[in-house]
Amino acid sequence: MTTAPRLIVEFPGAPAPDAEAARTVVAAARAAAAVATARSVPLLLPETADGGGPGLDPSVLAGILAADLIAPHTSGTVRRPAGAPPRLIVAASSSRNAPYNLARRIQSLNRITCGQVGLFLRADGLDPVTSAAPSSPPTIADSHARLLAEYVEVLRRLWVSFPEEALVGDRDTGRFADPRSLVPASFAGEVYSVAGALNVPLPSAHRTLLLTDAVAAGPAVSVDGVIGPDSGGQEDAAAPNYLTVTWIPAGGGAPAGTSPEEVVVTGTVDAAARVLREASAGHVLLRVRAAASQLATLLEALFEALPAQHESRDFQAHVK
Amino acid sequence: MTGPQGGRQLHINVNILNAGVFGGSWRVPENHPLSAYTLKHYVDIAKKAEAAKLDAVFLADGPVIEKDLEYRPGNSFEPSVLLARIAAQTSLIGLIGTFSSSYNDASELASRLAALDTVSGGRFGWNVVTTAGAAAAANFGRDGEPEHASRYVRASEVTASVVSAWAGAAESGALPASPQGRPVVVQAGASKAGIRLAGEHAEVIFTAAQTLDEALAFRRDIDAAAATFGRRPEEIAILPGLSTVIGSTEAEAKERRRLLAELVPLPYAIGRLSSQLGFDLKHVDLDAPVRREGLPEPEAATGSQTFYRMVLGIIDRDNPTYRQLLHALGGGAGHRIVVGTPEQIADDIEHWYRSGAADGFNVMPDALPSGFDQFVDHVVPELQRRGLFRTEYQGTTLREHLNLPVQATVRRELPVLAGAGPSQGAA
Repeated sequence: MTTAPRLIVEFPGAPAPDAEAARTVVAAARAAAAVATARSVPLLLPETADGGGPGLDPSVLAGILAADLIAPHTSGTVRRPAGAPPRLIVAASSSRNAPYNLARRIQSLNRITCGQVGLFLRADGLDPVTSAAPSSPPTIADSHARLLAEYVEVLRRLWVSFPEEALVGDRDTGRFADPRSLVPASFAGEVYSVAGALNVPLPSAHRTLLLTDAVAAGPAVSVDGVIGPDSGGQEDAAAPNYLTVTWIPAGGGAPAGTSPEEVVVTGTVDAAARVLREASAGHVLLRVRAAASQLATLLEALFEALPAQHESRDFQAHVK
Repeated sequence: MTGPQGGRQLHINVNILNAGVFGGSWRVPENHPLSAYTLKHYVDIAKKAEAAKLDAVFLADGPVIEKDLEYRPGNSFEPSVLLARIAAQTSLIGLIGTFSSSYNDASELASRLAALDTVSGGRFGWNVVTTAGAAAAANFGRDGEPEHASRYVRASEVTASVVSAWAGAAESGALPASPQGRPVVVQAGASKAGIRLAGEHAEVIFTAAQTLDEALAFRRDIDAAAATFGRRPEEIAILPGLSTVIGSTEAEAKERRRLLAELVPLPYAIGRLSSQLGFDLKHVDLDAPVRREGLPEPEAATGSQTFYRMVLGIIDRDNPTYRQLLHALGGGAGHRIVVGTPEQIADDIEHWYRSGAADGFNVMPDALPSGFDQFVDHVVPELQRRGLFRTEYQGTTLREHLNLPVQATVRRELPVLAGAGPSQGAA
């Protein structure tokens, strides 16, 4: 079972209208990921740029950042201890990705990074490839809840469909893999129908961290956590809800607003650290309203002012 | 593209076709049998390709697990994230990835690939394919594969839409503007519909021509198709696939070729040829001549017509036995195989290039990484010595490496494949 990380930091989606801007964004993301990784806090890569404009696709950005995480000669085998948080979380929408394609990109990133990538899935409708299928279902009343439940089930099945143990590579007998070890998704729901196994293997013991937005999460959905406007910061043993803390460092100093699902804090590192300490019994998504290039410095200062999480120390002891 | 007389040079990509082009490539003693499932395999080859000043690395792909996995490796890593990972550790080598027009959404694909192009500094090329087969279709809610013609109609629409989004990126601000104007469009497929699609969109064409005459005829077809769409044929680079088997002597190369044929797992080779010919070969006498009569014509084949045409070409030309045909194909992807010393392979490359049959090659080494090491260490220096291949990069983007202009106009009209004429009906 993957343990939902207590704290996740969202990378401010910065516009990248050209190559120079893209280089700046990548450099900022690398710096932020380095600071967050040192503290075993995952960095969430959003789908869109704050304030609109072209952002960098988060799975491509994760592919670039992966080079800092793991050297190529060690990749391919998941060495992450069970329950340790991933280092990157890629955001993706159901409305833009057929489940097979998304499952495969995340699985590939996990093979590249030894299991260091999770997914935040936003269930916001059917993607055009699925909806163009001749057998595509008509819109159903509870479509979002149904869609999310099925999408999650398809992902879960696909991610364990090609156990790495199936790779044999026996030169003498000419047997490359054992197809009987494959576990095809064989999913036929009301919304999605996905037959096959993925073509990207991972060790069967690996479980990919999967977060979803709150809108359609139901008790039957096997997710590791919920981020969204409806999550309300309430704890649930099966799938913890994340409280969103928005920190505006350039703000005036007083809390700008509080609601059950979101706390907005303005001002200094100490003010933000205080809010995070108060919320430390739960699960928090931290959004920093600042330029992407400042995120690493701000995070360093913030982490200085926070006690380390137990899971972080455990994880760091393990990787040493 | 003009020949060397025009001051231009050969273009060479390496197709990192997992463990190598042959069905038994993964079994060669010098490589690790599971190498193609490691990241290091791809990063190392890309770095080596960059050091040798190649135009690009090329990744084939499909959103489906190969049915022959029991006998040989398949394509695995999803190309956009793998190429991003490679981009992080290289700075000049071009990065060509295959993405299905059948099972990707144009808007999402345009945005993801634009990001890859931008973060790599303008090194990306999109190999547009249609995805055949019921197995892939069933991963996307379909009961069976879309028919050949409709796959190409969709390919044309998706490509037009993606290219249009890229071309308008600087103005619309909806996507990152490309450092190379826009990513290079690559296409393979020699069916009638494939040639038409290439004429409409392709800037680089990857082919499976077996003979010089076939290659020259293919170029004429492409030129005509490009002209139909108001494009300049000289702004299209044709790069046939070339499987290389290299030895320090001719005898050594031939022995290597024999070994590779021997290493192909027989059930795999038979299964593959059975599906290409459309009947089960399990019960035929492998030493009997291939029966040409009764085989369907290419236009009636539902899978890859390109490779089926190539198989028919070998049958018509050589009248082989089934076993000889299996040997000739080598359990490979069906591209032309050259066997010899580095000098002989350079001779072959030079001959095709000077004849106007090829602007360069998509090289598919016999086994990876070792066969590519040999190509880079021995064939590339020979081509450089002959003045056929660059010794330094002249630019930083894939488009600059390929010496291809950004074509001035993007057709605003909808693609014309549907109902384009009687010749399309049977494609």
